[in-house]
Amino acid sequence: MSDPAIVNVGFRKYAARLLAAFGFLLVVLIVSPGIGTESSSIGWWDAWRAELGIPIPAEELSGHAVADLNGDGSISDDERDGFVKLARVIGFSQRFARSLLALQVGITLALCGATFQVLFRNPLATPYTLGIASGGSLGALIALRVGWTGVILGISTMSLSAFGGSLAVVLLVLLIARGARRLTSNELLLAGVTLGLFCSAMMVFVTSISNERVTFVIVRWMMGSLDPLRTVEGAMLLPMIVPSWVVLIFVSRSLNQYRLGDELATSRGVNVLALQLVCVCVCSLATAAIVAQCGPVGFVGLVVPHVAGLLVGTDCRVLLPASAILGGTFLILCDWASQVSMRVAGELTGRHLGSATLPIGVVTAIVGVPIFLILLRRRLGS
Amino acid sequence: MLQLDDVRFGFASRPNFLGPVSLTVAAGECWAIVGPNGAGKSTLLRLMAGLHKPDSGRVLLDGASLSSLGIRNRAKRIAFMPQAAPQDHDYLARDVVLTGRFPHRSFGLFESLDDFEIAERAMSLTGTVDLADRLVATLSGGEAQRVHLAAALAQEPMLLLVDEPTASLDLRHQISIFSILKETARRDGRAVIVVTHDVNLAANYCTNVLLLNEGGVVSCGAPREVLSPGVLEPVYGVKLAEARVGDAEHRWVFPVSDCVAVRDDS
Repeated sequence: MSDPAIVNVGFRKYAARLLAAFGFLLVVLIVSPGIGTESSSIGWWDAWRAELGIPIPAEELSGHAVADLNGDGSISDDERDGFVKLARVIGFSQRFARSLLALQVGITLALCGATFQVLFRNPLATPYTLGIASGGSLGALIALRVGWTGVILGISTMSLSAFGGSLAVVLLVLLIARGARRLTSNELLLAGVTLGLFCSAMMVFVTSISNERVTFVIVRWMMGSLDPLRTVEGAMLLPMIVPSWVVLIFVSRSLNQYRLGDELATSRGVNVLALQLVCVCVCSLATAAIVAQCGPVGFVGLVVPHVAGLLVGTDCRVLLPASAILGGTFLILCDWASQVSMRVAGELTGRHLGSATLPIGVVTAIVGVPIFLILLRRRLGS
Repeated sequence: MLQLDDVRFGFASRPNFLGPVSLTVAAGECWAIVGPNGAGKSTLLRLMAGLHKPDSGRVLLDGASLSSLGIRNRAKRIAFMPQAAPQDHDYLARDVVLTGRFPHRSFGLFESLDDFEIAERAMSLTGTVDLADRLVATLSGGEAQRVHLAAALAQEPMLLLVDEPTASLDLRHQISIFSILKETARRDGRAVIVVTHDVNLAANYCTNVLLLNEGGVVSCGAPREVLSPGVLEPVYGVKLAEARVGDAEHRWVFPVSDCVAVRDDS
């Protein structure tokens, strides 16, 4: 078996890797109540015990900086109750909720990225590179500018406005596609990129005609954030993104056929046009929801599917779940980095470094771009 | 099985390009569509596969028009093997063959054991069992073509449509592909229609031949009648000779010199 071309049969080999990735994600989620900006030493184990109502022995807390409020070295019942409350708030209401949000965002962005790369038969195609995210950003920004920030049917108006913006870009791209008759041509990608640049310029324009307060909100929003406290009260993200997960996993079989070419896929019973429309619309909706909630978070959809491809190969039925799992994990880790990095840097340099949390988009770019360039380099080398 | 009634088809840039074509293909027959480049062979094959809709006339499969069949039901009965091999080579050969089972599964993401068995059978028919665990990218042209043919067979179609399967293949692979096609039609009672440039392969392996030129039917019938120099010379515009080899029924046809127009023959 020295021939590198001979690989083990199908996805059975990849099932183990998929499970391993999933196990790692679980570990990350379990640890997540213990990691955050606050230097308060509430460990994940304490947070879980507090949340699940498992009593924490008083001896364990003696000398604990957070629990021992009066500093007498012993823990009273009041102090213990206070610690349990604090551990639940910080561990779950903040840290764990944040990680869950990062998980949802990561899953969605990676799934959409992987789908677009198959759909446009281009390794660079993602809802971001095709301007769909920029359209969504513009839509959300306009909603922010005119103060249309409420909730309709549990969905924030910014999400709806973002979806409008994404849809406008998609329609324009499809209109151009009708002339080209193919969704895969480079011209189409260029059109998407151009529309994205246009939307970016319009975002600058909208910002420039805003007053200082709105400008500040806009700039903070454009930095991207996973702060669950920042979300619009009562707005739900899941109803907009979970259907997209289900649909994308469901069509992964058809995407496998699609990869073999339009004609072959059609002859095998895939309605190619319907598949393209469904995927593009579902991805646009999900991306718009993410963009409205968290601002533009780039590079996840670009990098994660490539890494997933290295791990599990290119069968979409395995690649899409793998991308989802890796995307969720990746974004949680990036979020940790965004929370911890400024504190660590501050401690190292001995200076206070302003904002306690790096914008998530900055972290995904810092981590994602080198990974992508390395992959690109390897591709060029082979 | 397959019936074409006065079918006409044109592209936006070339209206009335093809037709009228009428023919009836029965089970167990192996048809060859031959003709010069641009004669409309591949277009006709796509019409038969339902990938193009005829401008007028009807394409009937067992009496039902293709467009009324529904894309999924059509795929269960007609397999189409395009001329250009799929660009995406990141598949194992077995996975490519398994993709042929797609129309037969309504639910479930993954293949059943039956699907694996059928794929295995298709691979043994095409002699690709040993290639099953190789990446398609590492296969030779002939091997890859046999793998794709196995995928089409795994689809278990009544009607198998193949577009120039032997282009750029060496002699041995040409013969092996055509014997598989012939066997598929003869033994399994399926109909096979193959577009090809090789008139001698068509004559030796096919039961019927359709000769197209400039979108029209020039001749249609048994290989012996259609593939004779008298019929072919005006179509191709070259001078042809024929020779009998051994006691073979068919006489081999070959050009006697480069591009000698028949009409200029003195």
